[in-house]
Amino acid sequence: MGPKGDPDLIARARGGDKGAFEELLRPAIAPAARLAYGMLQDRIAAEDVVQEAAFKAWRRLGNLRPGAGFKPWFLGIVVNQARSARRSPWWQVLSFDRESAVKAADEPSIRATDVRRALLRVPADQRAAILLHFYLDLPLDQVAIALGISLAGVKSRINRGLKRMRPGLSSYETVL
Amino acid sequence: MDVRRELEDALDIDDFPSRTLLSRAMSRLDQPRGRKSYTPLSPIAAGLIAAALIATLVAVRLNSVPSGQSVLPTTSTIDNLVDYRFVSPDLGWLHAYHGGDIIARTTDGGRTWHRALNADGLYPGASMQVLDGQSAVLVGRNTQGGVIWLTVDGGAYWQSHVVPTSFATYVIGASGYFLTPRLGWLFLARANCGGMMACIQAPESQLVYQTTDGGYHWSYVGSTDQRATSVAIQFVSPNFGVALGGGTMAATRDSGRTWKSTEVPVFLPGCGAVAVANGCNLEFRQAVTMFNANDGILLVSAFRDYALVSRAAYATTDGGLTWTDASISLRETGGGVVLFLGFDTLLDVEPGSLQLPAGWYLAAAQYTDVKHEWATISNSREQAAVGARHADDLFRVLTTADGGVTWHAVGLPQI
Repeated sequence: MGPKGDPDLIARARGGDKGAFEELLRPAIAPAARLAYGMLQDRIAAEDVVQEAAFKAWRRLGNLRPGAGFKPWFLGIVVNQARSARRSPWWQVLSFDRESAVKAADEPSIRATDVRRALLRVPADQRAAILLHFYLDLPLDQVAIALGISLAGVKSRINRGLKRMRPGLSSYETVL
Repeated sequence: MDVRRELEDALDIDDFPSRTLLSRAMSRLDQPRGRKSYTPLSPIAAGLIAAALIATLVAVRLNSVPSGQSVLPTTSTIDNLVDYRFVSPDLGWLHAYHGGDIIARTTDGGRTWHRALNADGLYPGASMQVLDGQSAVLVGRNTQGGVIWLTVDGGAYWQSHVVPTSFATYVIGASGYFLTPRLGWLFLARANCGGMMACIQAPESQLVYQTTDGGYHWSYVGSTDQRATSVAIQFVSPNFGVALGGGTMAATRDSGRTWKSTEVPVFLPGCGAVAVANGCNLEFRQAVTMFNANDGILLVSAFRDYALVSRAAYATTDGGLTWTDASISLRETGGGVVLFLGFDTLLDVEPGSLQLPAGWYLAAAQYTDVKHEWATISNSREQAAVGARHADDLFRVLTTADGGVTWHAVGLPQI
C-alpha cells in the first residue's frame, strides 16, 4: 500500500473500523518485527513489543498528523516501546542450538555475533536510526518522521552510531 | 560488505510469522485498556483505605529500601556472609562466619531470620548445601577430620557427625555433597608432607568417603588426584558425579570409587592455551553444571588484578569424559554473572543494568522463578561469588518480586 492509500484508511480506522486498521498495519508488521528484534535481539520480547505498539497505535490514531504516513509513525511507536521494554529486565535468557553448543563456531556466526553485540553497545536512539535506515531501508526523511527529529539529527545519530559500532562492524560508511 | 549486508546477516529473522503476529496484534485490540470504572466511596471508607495505605507504606518503608539508594541501613550489610540459598520466594537459608559457622533461616523472604545453627570449632572454609526447605548440610573440618552437620526438619534439630581419619594432621580441606539427606559424599583434601603448617599450599589429592545413612557411617571409597583444598562436587545420580578443583575435572560413574580426571586448557589472548591451574599469571574461577548424567557445561573465568580478562565455556555430552569448546554461547552475553538454566539455555545477568550504589559490584545471582530473584552485591571486585575473604569485604543481598524492575535490600541477620 502506498502513502496515497493511507488517508482514507486512516480516517476509517479513526472512526473505529478495525478492518481499515488491519489494512494499515499489514504492510508495517514485518518491518516492525524486524525493527523490534534489531533493537532488543530477543525474539519473544520483539513480538510483545510489536503487539503493544499496535495497541497503542490503535488508541492514538488521533495523534497522527494529517498527511503523515502510517508506517513511519507506527515504527516510531515501536522504537519507543522497544526502548521502554529494554529498560525493564536486567537479565536475559539466551538459548542456542544444541549443536552449536558443542561445535566450534564458524567464522560467519562469529561475525554475526560481533555485529549484534556491537549494535547493542550503541545507545538506543542511534541504534534505532541505524536500523530504520540500513536494516529497513527507510529513506532518511522517513527515519526523521519515525523518530520525530530533523534530517540533520538523523544523519548525526547514524554517523555517531556507526562510529561506535566499530570495530564490531567491518564496513565503514557515513551518511552525508 | 556494506552495513546493510552485515545487519542482514547478523539479524537474520526471515521466519518471523508476520501473519500470526498481525492476527495476535488485532486480537489485542479487543482487550480492555486496563482502566476500570470506580464507584464513589463513602468518606469513611475512603478514610479507612487511606489510613491502611499509609500504614502499609510505612511498614514497607521500614522493611525495605530501594537498591538505588546510596546509603542502606547497616542491618542490610554483612561482612561475613558466606553463602545463601532461597528455595522459594519466602524460604531461604543463609551461612555466615563470625568466629564460628552460623546458619540462619527465613520463611518470609528475608524480612526476618532466626538462627538455626551455631557450629563452633570448625576451621574457616566450611560450606553449606541446601537440599530443600527442610534439609541442609554444613560440611567442614576440625582437628579430628571432616565434620558434617545435617538437619532434615528445617533447622530445629541438627545431627553432627565426625569423619575421623588417621591422618587428620594432613587434612587441609573438606568438601561435601548430599544427593539426598541419606546419601552423601565427603572429600578430604590431603597434603603429602611433614605437617599441616608446611602443607597449606600443597594439597596432593582428594580422599572420597560415602555415607548411605545420613552421615552415621562413612566408608572410604576412592580418591582423585586434584590438587585443591576444596572441590565443587555435584552428583546427578547415585552413581554419576563430577568434582571440579585444582584445574581439573574429575568424573565418576561408580559412585565415587574410580574417577577420570580431565584437564581443560583455556585459550587466552596473549597467553595461548594454558592450564587453569597455573596459567599466565591469572586467577581462575570455575563452575560446572551437570544437567543429567551426560550433558553439562563448564564455565571458566580468568581474572587479572581482579578484573575479568576472559571467559570460556566447555560442553560435555559424555558425562565429562571429553569437553568441547562452547564459547560461542558466551559471545552473546554481556559479561555479567552467567547462570546455566539448561544445556542450551543460559541466563546473562547484566551488571550494568542493575543500579548499584557507588563502589558496589554484582557478585552473584540466584533465582527461584522468573519474578523472584536475589542478587548479592559486594564492595570488593575480588568477589566473583559470595564468600567472605577479608574483614572489610561487605555483602548485601537484594531481592525483587517483579522480575528485576524494583529491588529491595534483604534484611540480613545481626551476627
